Amino acid sequence: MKYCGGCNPLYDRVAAVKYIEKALGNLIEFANPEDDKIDFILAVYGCEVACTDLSQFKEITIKAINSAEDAKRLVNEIKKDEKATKV
Amino acid sequence: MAMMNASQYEESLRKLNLVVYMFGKRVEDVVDNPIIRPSMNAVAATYELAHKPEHEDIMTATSHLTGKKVNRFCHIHQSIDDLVKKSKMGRLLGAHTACCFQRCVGMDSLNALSMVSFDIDAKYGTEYNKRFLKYLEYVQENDLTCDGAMTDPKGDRGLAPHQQADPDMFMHVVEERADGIVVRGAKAHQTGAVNSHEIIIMPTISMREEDKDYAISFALPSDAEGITYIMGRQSCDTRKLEDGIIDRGNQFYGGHEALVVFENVFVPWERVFMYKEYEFAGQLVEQFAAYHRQSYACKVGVGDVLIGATQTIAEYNGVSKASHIKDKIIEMNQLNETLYCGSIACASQGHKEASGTYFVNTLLANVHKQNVTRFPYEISRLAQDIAGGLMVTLPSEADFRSPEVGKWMEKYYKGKADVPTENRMRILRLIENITLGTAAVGYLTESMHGAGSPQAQRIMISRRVNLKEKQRLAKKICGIKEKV
Repeated sequence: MKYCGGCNPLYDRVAAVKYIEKALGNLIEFANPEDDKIDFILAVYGCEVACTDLSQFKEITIKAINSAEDAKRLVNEIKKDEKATKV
Repeated sequence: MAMMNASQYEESLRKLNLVVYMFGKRVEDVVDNPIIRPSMNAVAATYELAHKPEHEDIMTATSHLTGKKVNRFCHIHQSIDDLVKKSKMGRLLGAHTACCFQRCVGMDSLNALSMVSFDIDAKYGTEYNKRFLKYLEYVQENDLTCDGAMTDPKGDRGLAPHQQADPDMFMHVVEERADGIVVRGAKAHQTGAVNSHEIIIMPTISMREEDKDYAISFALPSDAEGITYIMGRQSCDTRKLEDGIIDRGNQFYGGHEALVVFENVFVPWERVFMYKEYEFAGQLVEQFAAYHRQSYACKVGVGDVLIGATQTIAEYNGVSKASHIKDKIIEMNQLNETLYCGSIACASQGHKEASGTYFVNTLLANVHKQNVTRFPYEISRLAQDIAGGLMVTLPSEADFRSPEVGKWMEKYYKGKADVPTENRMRILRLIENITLGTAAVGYLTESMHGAGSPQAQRIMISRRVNLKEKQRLAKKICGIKEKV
């Protein structure tokens, strides 16, 4: 997970991440950026400017959120993927 | 050493042996003094937020000297992105503390000196930049807070430094030794001085050859022998000594200013970054001032808190749905975001200097600061308009807690039925704090005079605009033909 700096966020980014953690439970595990096994980077932006530099993660999928609604969408997306994998 | 956290910063201050006076007496325990402590908390926030994942992208940077992660306040801007992040950091911390967090002046001094020391060396073959970079590495490695000290007392404003009746009205050299120099003078209005590990001295105006003894820049530990701090007063300051916390408005944070006196203080050569190169004094002043004018994005953050407080009191008073209240809140936001536009614009239109340091667009930085001298006053006027007169007639927290009269305050200062009277008191005290209490020192008067009074920016604006080109455009459009 990589946050933007949060200069003037339009929603509570930390609360959104807590929501994602709680909603997905064991489905996800947060890792250090240095870890080898990273499935995707969760980029948490405070607004649509999305100014965080993620160039160090060129080879990895980025899933970004920039609103509380995005956080809900992401949770649904991951749950749906998980269901599809099980089927 | 890694970046300090808030408690490590506090402990590091305890090791300093500062000579501080307030109300005529020596302050023995500076860190725990109840009047000073809120300002220490504000600087500590610059350390605390650098360790938070949700803010590290703004609060930290990579040192161009060591490649290590450093607090952005110790960083030399290496790109436009760094300049923009500096503006964003100001807003973030202003919103977090609702006051001056004091650390940007040191960052602006370091950045200005990175360029000026380089330029002096290029002209004279001196080694100021080498000394400066060694000093910078020390500051970065130890994550130090630096006070950037520019403003001299100045005496008779109509006279140059060498013409003053008292030569100490501007900081100057009194003795040159094999191992360094001895200086005397003072620096006024020093924000955050007693919360700093280091003090960086710069000249305050452009100088001529006659003033070369005054054209000096150097850095010293803040507790160097011969330095004395005399704390400035702020309106309502002694409320911090009272029992209870509601009347303070801001429960955690504050700012401070001090007169810093240098009485024959020794500076070793390795800490001297300008010595009598008088023609570079003006450049240092202008470059520092441009950076510091950009730094006033912090007032946007304080504005965020004031707008939030004003919307809250409108709701508590039951008037938030009135169209004129909504319109005033919109105007407060429009003014506040216009300030942010200026700070972001001067950063994003910056450029690379010969030294490699990125420098802001000076025209836009000065326009931004000129707006800062005005808009916080209008935002405050609107806040007071919406808050109502109770903000300045509200009795004290002690009365509210009194078994005799507290019940009457509870009863008669109630606004909307579902809002506790105490909450209404708290938000009113915050608005009072920012618009005419201790924090007004930072939000209003510092906005007016900090980083140069309004006329200083107007002079720079007149120098930086190309008026002739504007005339040429106008004449071309309307068909005026003049012989060249």
